[in-house]
Amino acid sequence: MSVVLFWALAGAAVVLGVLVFRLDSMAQVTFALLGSFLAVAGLVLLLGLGYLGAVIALMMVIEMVIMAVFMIMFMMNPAGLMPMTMTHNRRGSLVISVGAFVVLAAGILLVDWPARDGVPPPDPTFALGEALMGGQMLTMMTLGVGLFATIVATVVLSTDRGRYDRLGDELDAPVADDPMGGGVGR
Amino acid sequence: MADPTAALPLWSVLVLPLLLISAAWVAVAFDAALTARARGGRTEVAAAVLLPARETARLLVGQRRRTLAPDRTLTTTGVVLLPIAALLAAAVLPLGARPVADLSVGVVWFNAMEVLAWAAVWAAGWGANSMLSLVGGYRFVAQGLAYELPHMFALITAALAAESLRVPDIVAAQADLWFVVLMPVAFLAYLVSTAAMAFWGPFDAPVGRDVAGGAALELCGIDRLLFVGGRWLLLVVAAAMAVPLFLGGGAGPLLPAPAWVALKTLAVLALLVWLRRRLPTVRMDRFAEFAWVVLIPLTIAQALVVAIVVLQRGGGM
Amino acid sequence: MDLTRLLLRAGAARPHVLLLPVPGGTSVRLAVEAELARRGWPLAQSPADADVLVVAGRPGPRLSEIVEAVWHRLPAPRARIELTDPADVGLQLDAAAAVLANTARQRARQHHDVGPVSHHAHEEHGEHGGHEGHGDMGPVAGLPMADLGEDRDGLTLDRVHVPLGPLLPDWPPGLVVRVTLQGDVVQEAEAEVVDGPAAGEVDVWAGRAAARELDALARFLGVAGWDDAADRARRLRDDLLSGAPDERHATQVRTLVRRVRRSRALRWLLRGLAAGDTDVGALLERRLAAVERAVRGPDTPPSPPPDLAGLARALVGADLATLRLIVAALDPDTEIAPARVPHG
Repeated sequence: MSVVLFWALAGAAVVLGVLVFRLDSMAQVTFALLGSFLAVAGLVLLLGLGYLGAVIALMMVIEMVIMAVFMIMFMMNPAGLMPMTMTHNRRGSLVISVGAFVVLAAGILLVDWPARDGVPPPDPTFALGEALMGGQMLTMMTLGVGLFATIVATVVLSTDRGRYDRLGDELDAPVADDPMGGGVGR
Repeated sequence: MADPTAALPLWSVLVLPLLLISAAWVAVAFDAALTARARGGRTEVAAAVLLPARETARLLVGQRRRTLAPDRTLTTTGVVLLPIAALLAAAVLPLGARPVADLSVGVVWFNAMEVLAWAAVWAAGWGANSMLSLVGGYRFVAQGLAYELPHMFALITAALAAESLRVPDIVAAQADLWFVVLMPVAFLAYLVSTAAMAFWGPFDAPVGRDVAGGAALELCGIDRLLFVGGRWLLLVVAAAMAVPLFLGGGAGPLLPAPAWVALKTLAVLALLVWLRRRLPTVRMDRFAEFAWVVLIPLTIAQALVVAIVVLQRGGGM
Repeated sequence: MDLTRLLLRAGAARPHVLLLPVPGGTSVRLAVEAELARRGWPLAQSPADADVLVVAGRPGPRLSEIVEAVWHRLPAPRARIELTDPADVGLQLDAAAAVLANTARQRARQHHDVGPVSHHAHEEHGEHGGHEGHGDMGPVAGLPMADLGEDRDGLTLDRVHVPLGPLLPDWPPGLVVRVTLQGDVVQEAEAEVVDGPAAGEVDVWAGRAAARELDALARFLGVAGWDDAADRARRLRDDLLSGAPDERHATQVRTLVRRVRRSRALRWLLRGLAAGDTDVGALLERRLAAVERAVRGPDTPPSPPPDLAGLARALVGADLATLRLIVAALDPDTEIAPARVPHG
């Protein structure tokens, strides 16, 4: 049963991934990518990693919906009303992608994987949490702070108007000077 | 991952949609009765109770019209995805004491399934190739970004107090004190996010009157039935989830657990349905700032308070 | 066969009515709204949700085109009535319901999907298939391509030309506002009344100023999404129209005005929304004051002719939701011929 499910999900992930490059409409491309990610989340669930699979599904849906907004804003042909091709440098990219696939497949099939030693933990979510918060805590904190700093820096660099434009030179304007006021008045 | 001794047997998979549809039926009838009373016409109970059947019949017979150059794939995807999201999210709802699917990460599963509504409503709004419909779809994405983080923090706080992501464990942890008393801010944030995720009540800007129906503007016939029905199911499921998370699940004197779950769910639904007409529609240019600047710090502070309480009780490692 | 007939009859007992008000047909519109409230039939917000199309009044040539386009969009089963006499309303609605339940007629009426609509008849209720091709490829599906322009935040966004109206929920009858949108922010606006009344036509609301003000207030509250208050305003309007106004009605109106004025949620939502020189909050306060004045005494001045140029000026820079609120708050009286010709 799980073998059937594995092949179905794997096939869906690959087909939907290929569709990303074959469809004309950017909106449909985003949804094809979402479908591919959800298939991967299903595969992770099949491996017994419940928390990771659910979190992948959760994050990918939110991310793909937000990405749809940006894809349609920035890229051509959002509605697929014209034929469009998204690929560039086709020969080079084909060589690289086929080569990478061959190397990875060879590695997966030819490496002598060790036999399982012991049993999986009774609560994999708890074990994951312990590893993240215990042994790998330093990594997580560095990554987290790094990601947050990147997001903040990107937003600061991209906005036209900063704090001083909105709140005056002493940052003491009673109401922020925005074209459209927010709900809290800041 | 699934603990078979705690989940309901397989036939419950068929019973779950029927139960959800019954609860949605009651909610629709209640809403119709309130509307009829406000408009001043006849307020017959029979008319209100029959209303869901009439509307379903009307939509089943309705012809599906298409607009100019639509994206049929995305419209159909969106329209079908909304009720599916609601049904999948309901898989972890305890019907009484046991849910249909007892996932060890039930809370995260619920969250993941109900955000499928984002994709559904956006796709339905986009597919019709109509300006007001598109505006409705985009309004829902903005609404989602605003409510999602307070919603997640409310869920995390409930899971934190129970020290587990399994919904039956959360119910069991409320044996002495319901979480609505322990974490009122999280409960209020959850109620707000319930209305927002089903674009209901004060958060119905995505399908609002000022955009002539928004994302549902161009939907006819069976498309409209699935979309509107999906919206009601999502509201019912989200309201029903408040019961195990904050209102003690099936706990209560005299009646058996399933009856208490039903009563509490209907109480939350009644509150939400009643609130819709009482408040003007909240626009996202106001609510987004409020959600990020007020609600998120409040819910984080609530989580901190609950974490301290849990550590005091001797929980955690 | 039988299942279809059963479903048709079940649906025809409570059809959704799409009400298309025509300038000059106010008394018919009021009669229809009152009758629908009495029967409990809902008002549809769009043609896709409607079963019965009711044209309230006698439409002129341009509005007739629009009525045809809207009728084309209604999904089967559907029925259509054109009402010119308020007394006919009950009978005609019953007849429409009978047509809806008639299986044979509905089957004959099933029609094919909309094809590329000619651009002139495209003045529908704000839907605009404005999707563009890329670069120098020709227009797609007969629709024009959007051009670029600078916008409020310094971005260069596509500009979409959209005609809003004349068929929108809670919208002044016959008003069409042509806007140029970037995103959903209005860059340019131009307002006109389609098939408006000729100068010097009789004032429908003569002597019933309180009802007129309540009608306008109900439209504003409907646009703001406050269904309870909007329905209350409409009920009070119908009460005032149906019988001689007495002190009880006046008290109820004053209670409603007080409730709307004191609503903190509404104040929070309307705070700081610019509408030309003033803001929407001030416009709402003017509306409420007009209601109180009208209910206090019978000698209120008739409503002024609509200032369409002023309306268009007030809309520039607003986003779509604010546009709706501004139009509902200003509520130009399209029953009266405009004083000046709108610019453009």
